[in-house]
Amino acid sequence: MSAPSPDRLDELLFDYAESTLDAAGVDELKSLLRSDASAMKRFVRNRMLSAALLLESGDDLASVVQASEFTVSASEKNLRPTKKRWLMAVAAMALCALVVRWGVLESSTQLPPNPIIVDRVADEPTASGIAMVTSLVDVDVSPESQPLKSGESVQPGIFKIDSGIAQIEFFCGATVVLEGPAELELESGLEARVVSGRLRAMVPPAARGFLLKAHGVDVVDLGTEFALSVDPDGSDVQVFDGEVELRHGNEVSQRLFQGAAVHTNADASVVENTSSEQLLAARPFLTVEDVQKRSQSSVDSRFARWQAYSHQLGKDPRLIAYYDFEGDLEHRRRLVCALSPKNGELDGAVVGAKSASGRWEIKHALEFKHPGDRVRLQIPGSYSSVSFACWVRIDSLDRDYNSLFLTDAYERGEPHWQILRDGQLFFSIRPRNKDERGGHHIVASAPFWKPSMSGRWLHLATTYNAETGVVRHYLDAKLLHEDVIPENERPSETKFGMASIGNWTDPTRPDAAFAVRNLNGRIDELMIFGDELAPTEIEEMYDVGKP
Amino acid sequence: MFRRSSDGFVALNPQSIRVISEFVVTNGLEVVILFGDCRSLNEFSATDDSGNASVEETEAFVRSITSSQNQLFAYVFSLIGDHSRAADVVQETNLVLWRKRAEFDSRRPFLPWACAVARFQVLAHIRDHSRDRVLSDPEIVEAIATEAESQAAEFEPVQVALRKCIQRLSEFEQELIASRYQHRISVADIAKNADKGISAIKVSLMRTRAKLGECVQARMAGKEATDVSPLT
Repeated sequence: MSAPSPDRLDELLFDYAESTLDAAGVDELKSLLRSDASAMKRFVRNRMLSAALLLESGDDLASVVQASEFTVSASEKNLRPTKKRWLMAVAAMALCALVVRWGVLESSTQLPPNPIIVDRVADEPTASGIAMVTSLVDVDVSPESQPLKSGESVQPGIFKIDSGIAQIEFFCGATVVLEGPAELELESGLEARVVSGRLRAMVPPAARGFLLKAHGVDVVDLGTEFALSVDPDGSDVQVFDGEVELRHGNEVSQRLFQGAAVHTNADASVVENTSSEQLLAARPFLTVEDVQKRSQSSVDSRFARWQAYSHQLGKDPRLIAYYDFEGDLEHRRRLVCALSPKNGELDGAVVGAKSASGRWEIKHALEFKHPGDRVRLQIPGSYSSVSFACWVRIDSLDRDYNSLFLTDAYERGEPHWQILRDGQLFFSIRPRNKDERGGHHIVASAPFWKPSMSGRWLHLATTYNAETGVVRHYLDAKLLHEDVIPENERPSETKFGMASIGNWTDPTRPDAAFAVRNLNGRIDELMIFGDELAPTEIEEMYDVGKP
Repeated sequence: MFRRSSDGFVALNPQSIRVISEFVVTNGLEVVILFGDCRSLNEFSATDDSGNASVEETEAFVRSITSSQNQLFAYVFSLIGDHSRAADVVQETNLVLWRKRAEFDSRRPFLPWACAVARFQVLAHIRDHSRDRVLSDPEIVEAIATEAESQAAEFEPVQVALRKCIQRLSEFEQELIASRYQHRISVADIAKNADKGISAIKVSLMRTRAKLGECVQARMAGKEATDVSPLT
């Protein structure tokens, strides 16, 4: 008996599984399933086979190991000490995982380790702040201010901009559009002092009670939208929608409703009602939509600037490979090497990773999520000094090794560039072949990454000087770490060969299992130079490319 | 690989990972879970949130849920036909099963009960994602649910047989299968990498699958499938 030749049903099932079946085919399949019990059985058997094939994939074990090290924690707020300290914590793990984790003990009598239950975990990731900066348009941050970055949280303290527009979202839910020059003293997620400047506040019901303190008057929002303008002479409050409460000291002095406007002198003495139309006509307060519009045009110009830079960069003869992640990554699945003149040999093959937006909405990126996601590359040639640089958005560091760029074989002269679980940027280059004795010198920075940086675009760069052995790590163009690889630990040349972006493949492993080292995040630009980049060059790259 | 939902449930991509963990948040407690085996539960005088399940019952429940992960995945996958969706649904199903553990009658078999829950999750998933391009639809789910459940019960022997059958494939066929199902490379990309036409790869894959299917059936029926020769 030979293998049966596939029939019509096989083909329908195959195309259906591959999502390549057209509507007529789907109807045909459905009617077969309805009318023919044996077809229905084969349909299920077909899918069971797929399920079994999918389960044969090798990432299972490694993932379990990863997971078993995961820390779970919840808020301590509701702790009821009278109750048992814990009610129920259950996890079970298949023996196969234990084999990986604790050595072979499958059939032995040895018991696996006891569960470890720990009260509040000391190293639980924390992030601090009371508000998020969601947009900065043409902003010059004042030197007295805390540092401001779009997408980052801000701390209690001075928030001061000399020019531009900042959009701040308080953790209570209130949104403030601030026009520079302006100064705020952020006090908590629910209140701030307005020292000077103009702002518009949008306060949804959930954030009712949001309090802005101004010269001589406190403004408590009782719902929706108002504007506040503060200068040394006093404060103007206008209500666009809903209701606000003005307080002097602890007393409610006045309630303002939609359309009302009030001027308060600095000494709180004079309160005069003005018509909001007059004030508005004088100079309208910017809305969130205005910010978005301006932000968009600012993004467009920054993107255009980066494009011009990127185009020039592609001609740099020191480049070994350059990926700008532009083009149709979703359908072509080819990461085009942006070197000029073109060299199709250096194009990467996208495996698994999905097309996503990059530093700017209009910029393309690849998102690495699943254990198999990667870009496969083949980079020929031998070099001496090298530099790596990339723009990466780390969602979290889930793996012991989180890949940026790794050569497959990691044989003599091949570098590895990755991030360790605790956030150390890691560079190594193998000085000798695997069958020779001796290790390799690892250059790892101090942990640079905190969970609060999740989702933010970062610029990472590492330079390696083959003559001196000096390795430097940079984060956002700032020197993170410097170390020297001793001469006897340096290979005579640097090579790449088969390599991956965002993951690692060890071709020497004959079995299906592979280490899970995928990056959890996005990359939207990556370059490899056959030279040691100067700090000023990295700085320029960062300045032009920063989102 | 794992997710954390608002109520603190942490589960892992369940078709591959057989870890289920949940901690009850009502007491807001912080826990690190590093269980090796549910036997170790005995060392704790666990009282369930619902107050009535004994340690033994909970233990047995955990064992059931754990040991049926592959079957559940197979069941859900056969209904929904998409790997990552199936993984998501199994994850959701685990959560529902755990929440409903008090309703489970331990004298009855576990899998049918779990499949019933999973079927609702599948339908809910299809409903919630009706705007996406879903590989399955409620009509097909209803048509095949019963058959899927009975085949899911036989899933373990299928897996065992499959492993043997894969070894009997030619190197090329093994590579093809690994590319498609293990590395999940699309047929189009396999064709491109191999510098072959899509239809050639498709035919090869279909034939290899048909072979595997035959071989698995033969093994399940107790016959030694000696007739699986490499495709030349």
